[in-house]
Amino acid sequence: MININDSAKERTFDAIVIGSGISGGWAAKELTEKGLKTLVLERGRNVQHLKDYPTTNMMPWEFPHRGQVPLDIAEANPVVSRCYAYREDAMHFFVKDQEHPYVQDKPFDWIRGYQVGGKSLLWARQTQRWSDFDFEGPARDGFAVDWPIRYKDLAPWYSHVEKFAGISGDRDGLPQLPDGEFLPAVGLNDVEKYFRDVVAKSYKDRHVIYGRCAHLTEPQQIHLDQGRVQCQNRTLCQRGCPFGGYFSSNASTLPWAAKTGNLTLQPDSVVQEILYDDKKQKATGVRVIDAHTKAVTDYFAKVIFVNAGALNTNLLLLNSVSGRFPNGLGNDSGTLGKYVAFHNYRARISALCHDFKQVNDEGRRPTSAYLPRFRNLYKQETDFLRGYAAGFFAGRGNHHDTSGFGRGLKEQLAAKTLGPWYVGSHMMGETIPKASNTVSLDPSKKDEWGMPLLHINIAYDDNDEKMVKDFQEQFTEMYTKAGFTDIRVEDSKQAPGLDIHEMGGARMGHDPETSVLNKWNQVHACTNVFVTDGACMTSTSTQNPSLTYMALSARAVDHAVTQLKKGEI
Amino acid sequence: MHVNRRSAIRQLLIISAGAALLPACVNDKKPAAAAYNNLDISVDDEAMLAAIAGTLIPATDTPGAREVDAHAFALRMLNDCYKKEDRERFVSGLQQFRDGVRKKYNKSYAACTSVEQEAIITAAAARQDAGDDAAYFYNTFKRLTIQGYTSSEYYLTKVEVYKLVPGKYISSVPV
Repeated sequence: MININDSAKERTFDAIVIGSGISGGWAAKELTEKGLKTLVLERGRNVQHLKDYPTTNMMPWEFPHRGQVPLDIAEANPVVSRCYAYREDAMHFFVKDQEHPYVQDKPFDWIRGYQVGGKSLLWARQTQRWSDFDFEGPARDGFAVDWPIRYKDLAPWYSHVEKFAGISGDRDGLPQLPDGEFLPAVGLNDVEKYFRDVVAKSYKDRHVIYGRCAHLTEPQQIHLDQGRVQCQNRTLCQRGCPFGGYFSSNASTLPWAAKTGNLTLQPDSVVQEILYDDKKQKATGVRVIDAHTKAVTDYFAKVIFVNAGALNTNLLLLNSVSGRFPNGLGNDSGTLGKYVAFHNYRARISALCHDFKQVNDEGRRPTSAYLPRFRNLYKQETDFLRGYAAGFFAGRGNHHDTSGFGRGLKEQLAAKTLGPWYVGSHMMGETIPKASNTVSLDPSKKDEWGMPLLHINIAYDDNDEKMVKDFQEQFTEMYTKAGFTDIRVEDSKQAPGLDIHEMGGARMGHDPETSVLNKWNQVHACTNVFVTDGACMTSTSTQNPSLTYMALSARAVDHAVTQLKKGEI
Repeated sequence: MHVNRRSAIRQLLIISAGAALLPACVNDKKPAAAAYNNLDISVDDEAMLAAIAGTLIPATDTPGAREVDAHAFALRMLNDCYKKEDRERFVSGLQQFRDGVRKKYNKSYAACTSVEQEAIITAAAARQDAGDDAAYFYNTFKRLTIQGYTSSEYYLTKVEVYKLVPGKYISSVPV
C-alpha cells in the first residue's frame, strides 16, 4: 500500500504540521518564517481565501430558506444542527454527523470543520488573554495538575500573535484579564454603558468591559501586508470575509506562510498515525491516507506539530502505537485521553430595559460587552470551585405589528416601531478536568479512512450544576439592580461539546508521570513532537481559548527551532 | 433507461389511481410544482395561495406579497423545513379552507371578487385561535407570507434597506 513511486526524499520536510486550523496555521507561519520547509497536512478540502467563500456576498433573499437548514438535512445531522452557526449560509464549512461518525458514551455534541482553515473560518473570534488567576488555578484549588507555565511565560507571545492577528479592545487594567496589543475597540452602546456603571457602583470586583475580538478596526501595515483591510461590521463572518476583516488561517497565517516559499499545503490528507522509530527514539514522520483515493503515503520530518483539533489530536496520539509506546504516543503516564474538559455555556438570562427610549445604536458590531470572572477570584468564596465569565448585550429592534391583513397590515410592515431595549447574557463557565472525562478508541469500529471511531465519555458534574445556579442568581441580582424587567433565566441543558471549547487529554505538566506534554508543549518522552492545540490544556479558564492556542503555538515553534539548531531534537 | 421508464410508469399509475379516487368537483386538479413534492396540493391550490397572499398583503402602488412570490416562499418552507405532521395539518386546513369557499361561493378563492376574498380572510382571521387545522393553515400561511414579503428583495431594498456592508457602528443616535 505504501506509495513507492516517488522517493522518500521528496516526501521529507523539515517540519510537518498536522491540521490547518487556528493553531496549525500559526505553527505553519512561524516554522516557515524561520526557514523550515514545512508540510501542512489537512484532512479536509482546500478552502482558499476569497475564492472559496461561495455565500459571502449573498443577500438574505438569495437564500432559498432565508438561512434555515432544510428538515431532511437537520434530521440526518442532529448534532451539527444544534450549532448556532450551522445555517444555510455556512453549512458547507461544517462536518456532517453522518460522514464522520463517533461514539457518544454520554451525550457530546462534537462540532467540527474539516477544511483548510478548519474552524478558524467559523469561530466566534473572542480573544481574551488568560491571567495567572487561570494558570495558578489548579495548584491553588487542588485539581488537575499544576500548569508548567505562568502568565509571564506567555505574555510576550500573546503580544506577538495579537499584533499579527489584529485584536481590538480597550486597555481595561484588570489583573484577571490582562491588556494586550489592541486596535481600537468598537465600543459599548448607551444601555451597556449604563449597566457597566450600575455594576461598578454595586460591586467592587465586577467589571463590564467591551470584549476583545480578532477584528481589524484600524488595520496596521502588518495587516495590509496580509491583504486584509478594515472590518466592515458585516457580522457575516461564518461565510468567510471578503475583507479579511477577522482573523482566520485562510486570510492570514496560511497565505503568509505560503509567501515564504517554504510551505507545502496538502489538503485531503488524513493522518493515520505518527511514525515512531524505536531505535532513533524519536518520531520520524506521519502516515497519511488520501481522503479520496485512500492511497497510503508516509511523510518524514525532523519535527512534528500536532494541531488536529483537541479531540482529533487525542485520537491521533492514541492511534500512534509503537514498541516504545504501546498505549499511544507519549502516553507513559496513562493520562492521554483523560482529563478532557470544556466550557459550561448552559445558562442564559434575558430581560427588557424600558429606559433610554430616546436613543438607539446604528449598524452592527463584531462583539459586545464582557464580564470577566469575578467568582472565587482572589479566594474561595462559594460552594463551587472556580467561576464564569459572561457576555452582555443590549440592542433594540424594529417591531412590526402583524395583526390584521390587507392595506393595514402592509402599512404596519412598512412602519418602524422601535421596541424597548432587549438585554441578555450567557455564562462561560470553567469546568474541572477529571480522570473520568475521557476520549478513547473503539476496539473494532473504524471509519471510512481506517481510523478507529472515537468514544467520547464526558459529562457535567455537581460543580457545573452549582455554577449554573449561581450565574442565574447573580445575574438576576445585577439585572434587578439595573432596573431591567421581564427577567428570564434559562438552563439549556445543552450537552458538553456545543460550547466548541473542548480541551485537554494531552495536558501540559511538570511531571511526565502525570502529564503528556512539558512546558514547551513537547511530548515528554518524544521531544520532536509538539502539541499546541486544545489537547494541551491543563485547565480551561473561563476565557475563550483560541488566542492562547495561538500564543502557545508560536512559543513552541520558537523553542523547537532553537532546539533543532542546537541538535537537541 | 430501463429504470427511468419503470419509475415513470409507476408514477403514472399512482397519478391515475389518485385521479380515480378524487371527487368530481376537483377532478381538474393537476399536482403542484415538482418543488413541492412533500405537499399534497394542486396547481389550483397554488393559485389559491397566491391569491390569499395578495389579500393578506395586497399590491397597491407598490408590490404586494404575491408580486414578490411570498406564497412560493411559504410553500418552499413548508415543503422543505416542516415536519410531516405539520405539513399534513397545513394541507388538511388548506383543503377545509378551499372546500369551504367553494361551498359558500360556488367558485374558487381566486375567482372570488376582492370584497368576497376580504370577507373570507376576515372570517378565517376571526377564528385564528381555534386551534384546529383550519386555524393552523391560516396562521402558518400568514406568518410565512409575512416572512417571505419582509425578506424579499423588494422589501429589503425599498422598505427597510438591508446593508450587506454596513461599515461604521454608531453607539448612540437619537430616535
